[in-house]
Amino acid sequence: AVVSTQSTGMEQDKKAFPLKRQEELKWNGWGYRDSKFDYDADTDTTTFSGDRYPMAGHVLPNLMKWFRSDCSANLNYKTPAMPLDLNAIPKPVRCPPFIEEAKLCCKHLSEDPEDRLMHGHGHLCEEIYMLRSNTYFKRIPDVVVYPGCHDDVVKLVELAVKYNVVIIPMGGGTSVSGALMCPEEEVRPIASLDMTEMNRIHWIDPENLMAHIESGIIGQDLERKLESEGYTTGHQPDSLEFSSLGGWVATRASGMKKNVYGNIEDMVVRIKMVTAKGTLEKSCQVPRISAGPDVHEFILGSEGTLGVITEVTMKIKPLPECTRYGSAIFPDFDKGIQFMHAVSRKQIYPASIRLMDNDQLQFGLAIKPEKTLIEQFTDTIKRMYITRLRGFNPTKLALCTLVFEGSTATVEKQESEIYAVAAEYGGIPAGEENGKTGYLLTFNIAYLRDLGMNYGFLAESFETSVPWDRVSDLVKNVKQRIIIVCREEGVRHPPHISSRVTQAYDTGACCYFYFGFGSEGVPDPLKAYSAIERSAREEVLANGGSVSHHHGIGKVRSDYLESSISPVGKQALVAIKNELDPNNIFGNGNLIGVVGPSLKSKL
Amino acid sequence: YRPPKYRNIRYRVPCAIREEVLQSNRVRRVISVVGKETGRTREDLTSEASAILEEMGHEFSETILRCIGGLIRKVFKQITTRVTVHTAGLEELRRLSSQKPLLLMPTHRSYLDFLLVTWVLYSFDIKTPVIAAGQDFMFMRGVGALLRRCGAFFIRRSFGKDKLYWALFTEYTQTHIINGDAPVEFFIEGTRSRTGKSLQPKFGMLTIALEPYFDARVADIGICPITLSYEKTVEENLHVREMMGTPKPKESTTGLIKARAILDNNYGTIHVNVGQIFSVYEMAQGKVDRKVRALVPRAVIPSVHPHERSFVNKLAYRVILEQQANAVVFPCSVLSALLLYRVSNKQWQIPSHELEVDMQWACGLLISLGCCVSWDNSADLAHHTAMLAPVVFQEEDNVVVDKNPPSADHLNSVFKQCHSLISLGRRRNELMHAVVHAAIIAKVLMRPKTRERTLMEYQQLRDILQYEFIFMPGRGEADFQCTTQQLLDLGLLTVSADVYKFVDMDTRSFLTSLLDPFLITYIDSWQFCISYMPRTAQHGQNIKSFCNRVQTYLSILYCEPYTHGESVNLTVLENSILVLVKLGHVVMDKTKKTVYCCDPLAFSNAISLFAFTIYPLSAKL
Repeated sequence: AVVSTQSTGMEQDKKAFPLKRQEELKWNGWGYRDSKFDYDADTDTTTFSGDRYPMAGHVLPNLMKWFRSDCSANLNYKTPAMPLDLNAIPKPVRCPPFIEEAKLCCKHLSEDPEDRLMHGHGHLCEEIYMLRSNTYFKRIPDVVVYPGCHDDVVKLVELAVKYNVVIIPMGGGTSVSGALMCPEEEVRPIASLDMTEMNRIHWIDPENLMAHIESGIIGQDLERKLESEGYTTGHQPDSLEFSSLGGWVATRASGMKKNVYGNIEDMVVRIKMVTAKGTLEKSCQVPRISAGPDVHEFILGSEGTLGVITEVTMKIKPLPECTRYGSAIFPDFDKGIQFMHAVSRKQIYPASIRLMDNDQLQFGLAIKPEKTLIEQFTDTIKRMYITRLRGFNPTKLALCTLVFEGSTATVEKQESEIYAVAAEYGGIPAGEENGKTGYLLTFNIAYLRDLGMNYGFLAESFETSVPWDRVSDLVKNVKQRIIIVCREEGVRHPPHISSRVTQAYDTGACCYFYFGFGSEGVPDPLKAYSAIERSAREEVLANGGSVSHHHGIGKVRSDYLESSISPVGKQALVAIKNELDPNNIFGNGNLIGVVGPSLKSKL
Repeated sequence: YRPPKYRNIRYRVPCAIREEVLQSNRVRRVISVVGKETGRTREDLTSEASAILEEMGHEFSETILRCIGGLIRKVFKQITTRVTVHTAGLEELRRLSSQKPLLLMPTHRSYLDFLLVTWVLYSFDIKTPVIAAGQDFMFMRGVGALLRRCGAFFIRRSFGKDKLYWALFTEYTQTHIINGDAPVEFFIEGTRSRTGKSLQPKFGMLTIALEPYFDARVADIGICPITLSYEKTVEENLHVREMMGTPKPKESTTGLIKARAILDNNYGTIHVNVGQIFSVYEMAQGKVDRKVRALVPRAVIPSVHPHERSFVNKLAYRVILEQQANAVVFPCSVLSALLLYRVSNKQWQIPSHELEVDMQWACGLLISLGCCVSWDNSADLAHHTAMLAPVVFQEEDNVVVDKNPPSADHLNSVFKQCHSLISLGRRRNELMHAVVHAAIIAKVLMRPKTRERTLMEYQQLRDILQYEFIFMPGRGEADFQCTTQQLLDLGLLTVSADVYKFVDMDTRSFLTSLLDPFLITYIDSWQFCISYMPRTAQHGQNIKSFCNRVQTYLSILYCEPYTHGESVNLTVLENSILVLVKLGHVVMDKTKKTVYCCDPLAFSNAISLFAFTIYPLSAKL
């Protein structure tokens, strides 16, 4: 019983963004060109433009108040983005024979400077900062190739080996690890392999609950297509709108609902990866195999250093019968953490469970749209109940948001169990609405950085995973470290730093941080930013946290790989790289740093 | 009084703190371990733990503090001329008190120390500390309870292997640091220094206090060395007696009431200086890898790693050196040094005008060596002499060192004049930290020597005197470099063709006179050791009683007239033995505190070589 998706209609083939992505996506910021926060200084109100998001068209009266008070932002300090300067884009290192031959085995090939610039970066704060200030990267791809199928990729990699051209695969371009940046010292021609034209679902297997999918498909397209057939992968990272399947595999991504569906490594059944020595794949698609160490393990998280992931067979699940949101508030963050820990010990995991600290809660409240009078009235009543009757301190309380998925019976059972545990830790159910907006806002928050950057405010997020007994201390210490380093780096006002616990595991949790600071008066904002980021990361490691839970290593965290996996561990990775890619064709310099033909002498 | 609070604080009342300690992982684990070892029940041990905490814990109350604050102010007003404070340092302390947990480490010279610190912090609107105090005060009726309410918590002097006590004490200290209820104050010297010099640092409490950082329970800890410089300490006389062997009187409330006479005296000026506040995070960068501990679950009681231990040791020395750098030396200390210099030349009666000139010169020298002397260029000799009373008095135009001071009435005649000399020595010691390096170099350069040889002998003397003064371990050459450069810049030293020569003879003899009493005593004490120290472990003698024997021997050896008091100063004698232990000539049993020397011949050769090279002028040898 194989369902072919070839014949499905127009809606099915709609893409998240077109081949020339800058037509719909910002070239120097997050997301769609038509969607952004607009601040009107005269009325002191903010609106969200476009019509793509529920927030669009609404007035956000509190956003800039929060921005001024909680982030100490100065709205008179304006740092608008510079327009695109085509002359500042580095000249390409051309390889005409490669280009001529590559044209024959791809859907499209472009040497357009704008395309090249679009493919030379991800969404790290420093990348966006550089784009906005017209100091483009020293090195960007020299040509962008859009393969149409697995065989195209095989041929392109062969050509790259033949002409010694570097290949950097790219999906949605949402990397926040510097993985897409080209190594500055690379003198060979660099070809970016834009995988997003490879977006077909080859087949869906309702019998064994698997789907075979091309790796360039963007998350929202994948989910929409599967949904029309009644399925879902259940993989829902916050970047779902723009990130690609291949990118998820290459970075070891994690989705919000991992408690039900697992992380990416739990979902893949089979991976096809084209390496410089040929295609690496398993010959069977089985639930489990005992055949030595699993080769998938070194493909997952390889970050484009070993080859191009072209096709993935993934587990799928029928759409859940029931999805319900929920939320609970706790008197403080520590109580909330204890609650999450208890939930994990009792193994009653809802699809998603997240705990926002007070700073992030304030942040969330700030981007809530304007309320009607009746809503305001009921809000006041609720607030009175929580602060007056229950004695919660509004500057301490933490909000836990929940998603339940499954059969109606399971969801109801889980709900009652969860709220019973919450009560043990002083939690009060805070309604479905609070939970739902919490999750929906996630997509909008990514747009906020661009607004902040208009006022010299640099912001970034980072994450880690840590055992339960260290969650609370880690969050506390990292916040404190950032505050101290900001002061040392000459940041004039206290930074914004908020966190949430986003995933619960049996042995620990994933913590997610937002931090941002006003760069007014800071001599070199980028240097300050990177010093702060490094200090924060080192504090995380000192507190027993991992170098990353799902963002990956890329280039910004490659200094910490060796200490994370031991020198021997790194040597093993280098050895694999050396064997599969002796000429360093996949020379993006991620993970294990820049290696190349000179690799052996370095070792 | 609305002091800023630590940003991550959770409000807890004192009994809640004790309850949390009782419920802590560490204490519960230790209870189960001890239970298995001794067969005692959980309930039994828990109630013992609870009783220990009851005995240990503070009962801090802001209301009481407010009441006491005024009283303390009155007391200080009564007994001192003035108390000066370093406001910039206190401002910094207040700023940091909301940022990170703080450890306050004052110098310890007097019982008044912690009242003083608490009162100064209270006056400056800084959260007053909880203070690790010895149990001596606890038994004072009323006073103990009062101190508890001011934040003092009491620790047994010795609890050796008592695991439960150790766990409770550790947890109790650490919980204050982790939660930042209040700064934690303790004395890095461990006890009051009777000698006027800094004592060698103790590492135990500091290790406990820094563990929350090593364990990543807190992001940083601020360490604030505080120097309390007294023009005259209240307990001066008692300390001199203790150095000579009279045991410390037991603290009691009746004793305190009896001692109310101190209210009638004037103890001059007190300077409170807050030193540079160290960030443990910054100092530990590259030295302590916290990741190592992250692999030990919180449920397991962690052990201290060697790299952490060596970091703590270095830091302890840094704290003491910082305390010394911020010490204010009073002119009466300089006067003591000058008087002792005269006495060593058998002059017990010195014309005032000569002393005035000498004071001018000596204070100038000290200031040029970087010492902070509270000297305003006008020698108010009467005042300085009064501060040295009763062992020194002014008679017509002379300043006289009393050979038979009234405070030594209880002593037999041999020790009477020593009392005056030890008392003056104690005051002189207050300036030693500033000149010790220069004095060693002056001693080494009794005749010109090559740089290499000077350095070697400097190192040698530094090793010998390591228990007497504070030297940062491993910094010998750097300190030498720094001091010789200073002496060269001042023109006291010349160097030509790699040969150092001390050119200023007055300065040299003054500086060496500061060191000589120690060196002479050491050599004399060692002479006794060669002949009389037990040879085998089973004959080993307790170090304290052995020192008493040395003291008796030296008092007979010297008889009158004494030229320096160190020969009968038990603290110096003990140091002279401890350094032999350190240098490997003498063996000391750590638990029984007994000493013996198995190879007196080798030891004797080493000593005579040392005595000959360093001390060719010693008349006694």
